[in-house]
Amino acid sequence: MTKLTKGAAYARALANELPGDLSRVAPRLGLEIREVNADGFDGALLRAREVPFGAIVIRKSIREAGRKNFTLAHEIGHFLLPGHDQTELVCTKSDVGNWGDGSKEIEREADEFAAEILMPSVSVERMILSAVPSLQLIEKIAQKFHTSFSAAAWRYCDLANAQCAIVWSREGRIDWSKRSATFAFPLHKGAPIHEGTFASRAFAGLPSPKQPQEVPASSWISANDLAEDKKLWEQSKALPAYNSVISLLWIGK
Amino acid sequence: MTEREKPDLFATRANRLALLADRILGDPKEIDAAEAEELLQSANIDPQELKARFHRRFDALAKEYAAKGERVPLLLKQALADFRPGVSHSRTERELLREAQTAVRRLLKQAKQLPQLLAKIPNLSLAAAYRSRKELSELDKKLLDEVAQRLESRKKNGKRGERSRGGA
Repeated sequence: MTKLTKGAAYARALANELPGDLSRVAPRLGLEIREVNADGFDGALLRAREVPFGAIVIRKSIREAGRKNFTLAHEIGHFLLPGHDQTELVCTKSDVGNWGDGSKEIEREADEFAAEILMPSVSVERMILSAVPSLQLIEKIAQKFHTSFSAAAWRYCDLANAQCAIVWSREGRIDWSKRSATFAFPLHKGAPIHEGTFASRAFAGLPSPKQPQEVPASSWISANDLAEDKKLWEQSKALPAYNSVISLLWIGK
Repeated sequence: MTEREKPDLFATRANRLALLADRILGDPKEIDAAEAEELLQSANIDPQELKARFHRRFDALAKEYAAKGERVPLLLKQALADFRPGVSHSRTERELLREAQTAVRRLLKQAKQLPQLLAKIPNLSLAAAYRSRKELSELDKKLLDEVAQRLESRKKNGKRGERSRGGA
């Protein structure tokens, strides 16, 4: 079980008090939702300092409904979380759902809030309990909870018992990764994607196998005590719209 | 007697129970979760099974309230959250959950009184640090300014509404 974060605690508190669709919850918090043709931000929160009154502004052109929903949840997180009231509250694409280690603390907290409110840990854990890791399973999580694929992938590794990790790479380098509690090997931000991985093939525009494949573990991880013949499973998917590839890695049968 | 004026029997009973438990076992603050689990196990009681039984009882009780169209007492809601199967929190986590719950309830209470609260504020001060952000285009700033203006006018309209109702 993962440690309860501040974001998750506030999400549970809100879900206890006001369960349901966030587009209905926001007005009850004193917030109106506006979609605008912005080009430089995904979401913004304009709020009064004195009273719970304000607006959540969402970029109209966000393509996926799941990402839009996640952005809305992220901004509600900013509205509720302590310490977020005196800060910059316009969130660019890299602020929302950017799960990297370098993301700002308040953005991470808002992401954790969004992850818990949209994908409650109890429900996700039940769904993944005996399931074999796969990108298809992550897709199911994203669909069931109406959220983005990357958020679902992050959440999966946040809660999974399997030795797995999700890697988001952009332009041939690791952008961010999330390891499950049992995946002990580091995955460094900025590290190049090795040839011989399916992620590298995806970057080259080659089709990705629909099922997970075994690859030498050394093509993804470097560790002194790593056996030469050690393998891990990889399933990668190209995301051309983001110039990125998402890869699920895991160790096991 | 209205619903609001009725004595809260649930809270009264819960207080009595807490007092009884304190007298028998001491203040709950004196033992932590791990110690409590050890004590239960030494008495051949499975802590998880006990938790699940409590949860089932509380759940049934909450459903009775709901079926009668009555509000589920806050303490019962809290107990349901604390005893949810699969959830085991350390003291720090419980404190964090309580803090979050208190903050959310306070905010919801304020949100319900929003028209009155807005009426008391002469000028709305919106956090608008976006105006100094270099990565935002002039179009983005204009769009956010428009939303801010809309909020200000909503506030003014709300205030007028309050006034006209007051004058009627």
